[in-house]
Amino acid sequence: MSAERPGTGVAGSTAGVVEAAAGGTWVLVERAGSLWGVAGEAVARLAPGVRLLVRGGAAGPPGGELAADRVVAVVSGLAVRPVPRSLARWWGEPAAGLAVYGERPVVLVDPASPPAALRARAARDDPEGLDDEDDDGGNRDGRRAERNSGPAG
Amino acid sequence: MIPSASENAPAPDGEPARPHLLLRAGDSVCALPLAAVRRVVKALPVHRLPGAAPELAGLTEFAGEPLPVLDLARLVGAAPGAAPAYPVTVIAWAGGPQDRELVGLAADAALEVVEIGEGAVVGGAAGVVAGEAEVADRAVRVIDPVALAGGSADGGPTAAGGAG
Repeated sequence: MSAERPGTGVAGSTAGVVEAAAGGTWVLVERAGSLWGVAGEAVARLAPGVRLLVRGGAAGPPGGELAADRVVAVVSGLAVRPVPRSLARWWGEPAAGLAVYGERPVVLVDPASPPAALRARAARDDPEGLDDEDDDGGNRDGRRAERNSGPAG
Repeated sequence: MIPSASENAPAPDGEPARPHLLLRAGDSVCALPLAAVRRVVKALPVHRLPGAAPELAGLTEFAGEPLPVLDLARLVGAAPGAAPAYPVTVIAWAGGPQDRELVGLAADAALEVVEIGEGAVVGGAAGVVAGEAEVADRAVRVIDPVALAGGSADGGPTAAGGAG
């Protein structure tokens, strides 16, 4: 059963994997208070400590490790929505799409380039996934303010 | 919600005036074109995304669909105001007519609807703010719905548009 509606698309380098999984199985995990979905066919193994070993897809590395706080569900038939531009503008992480599960929004993960919050190393060192922000020091907000003002400013 | 004549920003002769929804955001009042408003609801619960810019309050669910929610006060650079008594989420259309998408705007209150003339919007556009208008002796920041999705009033993308 495919719940994907006509006219919707999926961004991301492993869009093929995600599109194939749109009517298939998704592993939903919770991390940093949000729900994240990983295409079932990208999950090679679920290891103790809630570690997901994933295949990176055609454009990604042969494998990787994602960390989560808990597995919420394994579901099929998620209605996959493209990443809105208004989300991409203020959230610099790659994502393969969005969905809803149990009245909660779900960020669908591109297994080839998962968000920092789910990367195993970042998860161990920085559960909030803010490594990049820390590296940038105080310049991040300034850069964003500059970008947001855009050429129209 | 019915505007009085004194609360409208008058349009110069011959210039069209359009209804705008006034929203309180921090210590500022913003005006969003009413045509861009789909619905105003009690503040929806948002799930914050790690690493997101402060302008992005998080994600929520509305009518069975995932919806990004933007912090209106952060968007316009307003200082925090008093704790809102009745915070709202405005479900609004962002982007141009050909590529619009829904976005949530977290605001401290929905105030009223007023008419604002196009010529009454002055000052340079910056970010999502098209300019300022004076309504009932107070400066109101007029929001450009196109810019909410990363575009600009002239239809082109902003520097930040297309990120991700």
